[in-house]
Amino acid sequence: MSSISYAYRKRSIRVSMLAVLLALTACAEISLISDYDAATDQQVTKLHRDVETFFTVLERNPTKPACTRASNDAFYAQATTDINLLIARNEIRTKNDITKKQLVVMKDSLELLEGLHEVADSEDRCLGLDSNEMQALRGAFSTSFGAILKLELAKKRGEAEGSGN
Amino acid sequence: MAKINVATLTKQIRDAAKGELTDKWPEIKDYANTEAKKIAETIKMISIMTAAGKMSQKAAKIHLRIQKNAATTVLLTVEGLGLIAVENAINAAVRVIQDTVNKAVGFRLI
Repeated sequence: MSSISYAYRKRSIRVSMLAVLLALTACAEISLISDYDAATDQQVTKLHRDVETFFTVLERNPTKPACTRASNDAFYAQATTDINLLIARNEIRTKNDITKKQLVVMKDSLELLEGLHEVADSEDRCLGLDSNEMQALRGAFSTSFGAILKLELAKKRGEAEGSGN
Repeated sequence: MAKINVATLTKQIRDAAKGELTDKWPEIKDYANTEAKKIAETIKMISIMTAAGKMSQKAAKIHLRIQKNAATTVLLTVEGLGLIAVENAINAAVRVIQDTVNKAVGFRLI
């Protein structure tokens, strides 16, 4: 009796698994990475704009006290809030490890930028005064934001690349 | 202090990356070249500014980390685009055989 019951259970499990497999292949195409998320696209674009504006403001007025870390506290507070919200949103999206990693790296870069600003203050110089230094910072952040957005836009399956810009 | 040659340094960074990423090299080659050049240019900028006393070692290290983060982000995008390409290829292949297979088995398998 027990061997019949065991065989029956085993067969039932196999049939169930086959049914699930058939249902999956019939219902959906495979998906290896998360779908496009418009909110992430918009929030990353906004953060990019805020960082770019911050660099431009620093460049236009590289004098104290405007150039100090303390005078730019509002930017850092907003940028920290925005990147934390983006990470939180992207942590709950399935198959989204790559974008999540990118945002964590971006958070590190924003913290490094703040650290660099504090170092500049401690050395009694204005961040933004040297055009080469600003070009390097702007280039690095622009590359990072561009890469995050490129991947997010690529998640729009079946649509033309770059659409939605 | 030895002068930094961006072209030589770019090649050294690119070759080191190639050694670590042999399997994926064909797909990431172009991106790796671009990012290697950016890192080399940042190192050149750092060397000039530190030599001129315009940048401290502490600030220099932060600059390099920010540039490395940018390169990491780009390579992560390449990884993601690769996944999407694989996904597209599999789904396209399935669509191509869909009608034939469904007719052959007599029900909608795919």
